[in-house]
Amino acid sequence: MSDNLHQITQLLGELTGGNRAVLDQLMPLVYDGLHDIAKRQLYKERSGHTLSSTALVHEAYLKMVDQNRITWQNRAHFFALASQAMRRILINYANHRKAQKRGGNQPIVTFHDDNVAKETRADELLAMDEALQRLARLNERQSKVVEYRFFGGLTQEEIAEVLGVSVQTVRLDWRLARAWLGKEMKSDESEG
Amino acid sequence: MDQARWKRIEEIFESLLDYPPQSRPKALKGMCGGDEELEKEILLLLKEDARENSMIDGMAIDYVDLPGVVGQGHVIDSFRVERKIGEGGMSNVYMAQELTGKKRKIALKLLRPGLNTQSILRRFQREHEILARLRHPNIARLIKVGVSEDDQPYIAMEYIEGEPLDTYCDKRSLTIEERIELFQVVCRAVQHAHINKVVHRDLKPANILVEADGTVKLLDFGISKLIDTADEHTKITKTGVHVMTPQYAAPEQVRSLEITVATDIYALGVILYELVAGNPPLALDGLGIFDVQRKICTEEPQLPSEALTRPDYLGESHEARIASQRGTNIAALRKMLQGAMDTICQRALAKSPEDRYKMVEYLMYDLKRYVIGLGMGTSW
Repeated sequence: MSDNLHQITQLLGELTGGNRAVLDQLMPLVYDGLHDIAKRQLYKERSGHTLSSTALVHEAYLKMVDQNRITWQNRAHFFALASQAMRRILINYANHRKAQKRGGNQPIVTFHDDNVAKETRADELLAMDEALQRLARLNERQSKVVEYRFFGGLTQEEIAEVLGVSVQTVRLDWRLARAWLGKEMKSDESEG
Repeated sequence: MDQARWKRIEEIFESLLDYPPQSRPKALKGMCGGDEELEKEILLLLKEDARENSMIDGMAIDYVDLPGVVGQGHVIDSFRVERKIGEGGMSNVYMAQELTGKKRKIALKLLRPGLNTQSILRRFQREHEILARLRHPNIARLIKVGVSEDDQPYIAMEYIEGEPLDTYCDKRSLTIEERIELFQVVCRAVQHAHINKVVHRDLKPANILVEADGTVKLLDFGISKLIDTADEHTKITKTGVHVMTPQYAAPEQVRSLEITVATDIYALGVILYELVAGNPPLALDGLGIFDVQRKICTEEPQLPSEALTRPDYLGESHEARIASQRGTNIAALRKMLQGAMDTICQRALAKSPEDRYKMVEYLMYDLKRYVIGLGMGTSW
């Protein structure tokens, strides 16, 4: 990871202005780094087995970025990237879980309230992800607020920092996005 | 909806927040200027705004279980992990090296994290005594069960290098007689376990390996029970969790009824059916959990001799391949299965445990007579 430390910090510095090519290089590094940390945490915390997005993203920040060479804006960029990476990781697992649960030849854990519930939970998460993509077409920033909070575990203040808006704006965006998503997920249910 | 309309909704929603909740609907009406659609839309949003929503207010990470990882070189008690060799619903299996004693290569099954260590230890202890009694040349030995210092429950078993029973038979184009001969070895091992009061509960070709020299080894005897009971105590509900493979699961398993020797006999029936007919008795692929359950409990499988020409699988080449993998042609294979083999499979796969063979021995006896019948060119 220390090789990446230099590279990630360097790339974050070059990111100013939202350079697409730099972003494409950074994303896989952040994804892998975060994934790695999540897996290690899971191993360490076998008995407790609680992971927090907030803790993961902050640990990633400390481990993956050279603190002496980072600016305030770069920190915000990193949090945004890490939230996006968390979203991908979790959606990948939800998809994997869904695929695993179909068909006759896969060992499954089954037929009981708990497990049916768990499968439904992965489905719910996928539905949420889709609704969020629809929201992005209406208002990109509102969808980002949800991404940073729901997937990345960022605080309101951090989100304001990342988006370069006031905390007040973040609160309002959140409130509207939350209501809209609630409504969307409900109509999904009644259709399905 | 387009962005312009959404912008309008946003503005109205924002101004409404200045009003006390009870006067919002009235204020809304004024702001919408007769646009009823708009009014309805925003009313729904206000309703959602006031409602608790445990999902959105929670965290995405709580909606999936990320699998833990154990890397190469990781030491668990006296075993050093070398590489992952399998993945299951409740556990992962690794090849590992014993660091003390005989320094054997072993298969190390690591249970899902988050289980209650103390209760597992007690249960493991009890089960271990029973399982250790299972000494049979065709059953992979259980070496140790325990919980490591960092709370990782594990099961260490003899490491077997071999091919799954079905692959082994197909690759070598074994004839029906040769397949049954191997299957009889499986039956004898299962019978031995049953006499020692151990039910396998998860018999399937992947748990039956054939070594290079043709020795059959059954894996994971009684392991699914260990895993089941280990998990039970961590659940809030009393139901517990059952590990099984639907393709080989008996109706009583998917309904969480009592598991007995008849459950293993059903699984043996599925394995036999596939060995001779090349298709599974029930087509479960692509089905959701409830359809799988319903089919297992209610749908009568086709007779193996008829299943050869099952319309949903087919294509003539599929049939022809099944026959040639058994060193024969379709017509001859169908004739071999008709009658006695159909009856044997039906009996083993009966929906109700009481209608199945009472003991593996009876199944073995019928198979023996079947093979003799084949030799005489008749089905008895």
